[in-house]
Amino acid sequence: MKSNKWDVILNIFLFIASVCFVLCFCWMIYSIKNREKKEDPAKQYRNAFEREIKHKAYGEITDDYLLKKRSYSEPPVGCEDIYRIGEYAHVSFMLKVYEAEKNEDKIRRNGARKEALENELSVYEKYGDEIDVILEEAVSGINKD
Amino acid sequence: MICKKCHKEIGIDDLKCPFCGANNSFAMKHQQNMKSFDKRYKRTQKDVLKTAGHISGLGKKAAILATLLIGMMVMIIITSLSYAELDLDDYSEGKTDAVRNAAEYTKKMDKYLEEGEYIEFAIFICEHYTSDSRMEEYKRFRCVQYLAKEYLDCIQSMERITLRTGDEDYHFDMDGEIHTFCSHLEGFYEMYENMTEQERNEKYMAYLNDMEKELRTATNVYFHIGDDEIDSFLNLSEAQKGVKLEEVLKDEE
Repeated sequence: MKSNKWDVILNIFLFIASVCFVLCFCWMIYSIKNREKKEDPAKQYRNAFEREIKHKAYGEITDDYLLKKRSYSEPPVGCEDIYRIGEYAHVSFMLKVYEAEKNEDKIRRNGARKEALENELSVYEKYGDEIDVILEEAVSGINKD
Repeated sequence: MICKKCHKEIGIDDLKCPFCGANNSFAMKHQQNMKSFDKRYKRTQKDVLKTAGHISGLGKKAAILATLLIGMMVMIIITSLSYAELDLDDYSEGKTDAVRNAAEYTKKMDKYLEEGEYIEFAIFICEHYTSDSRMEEYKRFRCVQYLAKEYLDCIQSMERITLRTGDEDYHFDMDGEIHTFCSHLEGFYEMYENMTEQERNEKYMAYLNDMEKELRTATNVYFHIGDDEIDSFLNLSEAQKGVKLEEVLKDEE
């Protein structure tokens, strides 16, 4: 009786382990085969950006920008406009900090950078204005929630 | 033994007395017992063999199970290594680049620091793996590099929170983001404490202090935690900081 119980238990474990083994094997083969395939980074980036700009998730846009910049100083080809708006949001954010610190050099440098980016925003100009409003409200303490 | 009838000596196996022909009840009983013992012995032998076979069957199954588990572990390791190799390629290329361009990069890094562009500095060192290089040229930046990375994390987190969407159809985990920021902030101040103890160069010590001051200002500007409140805020636990920030950010004007 006792050994029958162990028999049943082992059979169950064997079955589960066999299924997992086959799945692991398939996963390993798939990973090795797809190792060389690289998803187009520009397409991924743009898809994410389109979703974020639609919902005005500027925090995500600037976050993606800073993350990408840690790896590549130049944007992926075809994503220069996305970098620009991310950089605009980031520079605008930091400008408020420098204004509070009354650091004239940084205000001048970043102010010039913000102006240059503003002139290059083109179709995203309205989003730049919205970012400015959000930052202004955040500084003055008005809650948008 | 002795025959009960004729009292002559007979063998224990003799069913009848060879002399008088009387039945030897003792021998009959002995023979019956022997048959019974033989039967029981064979039954026991059969049971033992059956159990032994069964156990060896269990043993085989256990061995197969162990082999399958080891095989799975090996496959998981192979798959993980195949992904890790891709990252390592970028990393080793980056380090070689940092070594090759040390003169140019250190000049750029000094310029960023002199201008107080700590975010640009942090981004630069991440892109070029200079903080991982053991070259003498980069050693003087060690403390500033470590702190700048923490500073970048804090600012990045603050930007995510400040510029968050108001669109309810887009999921934004406010509580999660606040707690991420608090943990980055704690990380920054731990690193600040360590690095200010280790840094011996006055110029680089000034950069460390400047980063700390800038972060305080940012916290004041966007999260409305005043200078007089910030020290007590920093002394709160991570969970308490999260609660305090939630109150500040969700407070109605």
